[in-house]
Amino acid sequence: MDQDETKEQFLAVYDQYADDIFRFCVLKVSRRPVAEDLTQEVLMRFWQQLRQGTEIGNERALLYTIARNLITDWYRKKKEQSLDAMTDEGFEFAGDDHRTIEEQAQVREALDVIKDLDDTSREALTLRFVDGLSPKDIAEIHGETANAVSVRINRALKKVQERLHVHD
Amino acid sequence: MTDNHTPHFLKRLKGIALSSNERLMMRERLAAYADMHPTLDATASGTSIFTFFASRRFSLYAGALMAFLVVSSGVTFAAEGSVPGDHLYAIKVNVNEPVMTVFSPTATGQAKVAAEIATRRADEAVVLASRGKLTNEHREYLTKEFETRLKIATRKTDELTQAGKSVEAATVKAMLAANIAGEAQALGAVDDEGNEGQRAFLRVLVAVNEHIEGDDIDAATAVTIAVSAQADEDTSATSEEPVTLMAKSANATTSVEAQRPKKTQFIRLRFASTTLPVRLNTQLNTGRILVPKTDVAIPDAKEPADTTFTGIDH
Repeated sequence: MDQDETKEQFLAVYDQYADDIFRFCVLKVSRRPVAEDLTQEVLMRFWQQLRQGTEIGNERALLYTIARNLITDWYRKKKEQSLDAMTDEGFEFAGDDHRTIEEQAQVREALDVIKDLDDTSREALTLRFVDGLSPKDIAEIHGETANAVSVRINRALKKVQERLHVHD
Repeated sequence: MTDNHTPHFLKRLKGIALSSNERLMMRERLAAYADMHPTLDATASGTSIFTFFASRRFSLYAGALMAFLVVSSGVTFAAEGSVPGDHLYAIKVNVNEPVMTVFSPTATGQAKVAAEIATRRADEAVVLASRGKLTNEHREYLTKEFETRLKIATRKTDELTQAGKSVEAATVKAMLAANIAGEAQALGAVDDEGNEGQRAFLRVLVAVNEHIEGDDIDAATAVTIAVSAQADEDTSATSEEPVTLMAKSANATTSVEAQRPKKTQFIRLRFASTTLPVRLNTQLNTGRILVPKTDVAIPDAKEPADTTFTGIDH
């Protein structure tokens, strides 16, 4: 592919996955500006892979893997801020898009439900049910088996159901 | 609520997203980044960043980039002061610096930008050292980046010379030498408390400076002066009056009048058509120069403001 075609592919990937990567980063670092910077860095590193002609089997999985690595580096340098602080301090979920108060309240409610999950379970749940990744895709990102991911997702789902007072 | 609704409940988290404006601005930045770092196939076939400058795409993007910089200057501006370890540092080196290169399309501009970027790596080491955060990891990174950028700057000034622009090449080299000397001096002034990493980086800067100085440059045209603005705590009215700095070389004498500085700043000495940066560092209690081949006048902070000084102190 030439420069124009590669760039077109790159921007199409951006259009499709930017919000997912951003959300993934927000739920990890709990700071919107940091999440935005990380998202951009993820895409820049993804471009570097494309421009070198690297064979990319699963673009989405690669994006999440890059994001996880960058977030790990970020954690090494920064102190973690909890999701509690995010909800308490009135974290802006939707930037300047002026979402309704009800929509913002719904997001906060969802955050409140998942905040007590361990980080890996929370990540697996959001990748599966918010971003729509399959257990196989998640396994590729986590470096685990699909079966292990499925078990984790089911356990996390049960915890969320308990918090939501779901009855069998 | 049944368990079929739990996944639906979790989907509310889709509300966490970039705003329309954020998406658009990031898209523009990434598109510009992709243009500035073309695919390896494009580079090999000659569609380099310099071919891009001559293309219609560049003229389209120049306008878009300019508009983007005006709109998003908050993030990119804030990134300018960042150093390794800061979360905006990636913006500084991966967005701001490529933009500097794009907006300096001439050969002379490219050489100047390359020299400036090399200096920025050295300056970051000084900032980290002053904060006590020049770790071995940061030092190794900055040393490698500094030497890489220096090679690029050297290559670009050599290209200028080969293109018959020896005056421009000498100016860029002199500026680089003066800047690096200034950074070396600033780094040396930081109390390192036995930080071997800091001393190691300082040796790199001094060695580079000596190399540039020995590289067929008229040393008389490259001078960095570090002087004390105030040696006393008594800030009398004379401390506000301008000082005169005089510099002599084998073939030129120049002087400049400047306000007595209260903090570090650059004062420029002009030799013929060459303008050179001179840094005044208020942390020093004695005047000191870094390029001893030139006779430079050093002001004694206790002297009256209108005294013309002579002599060398190094």
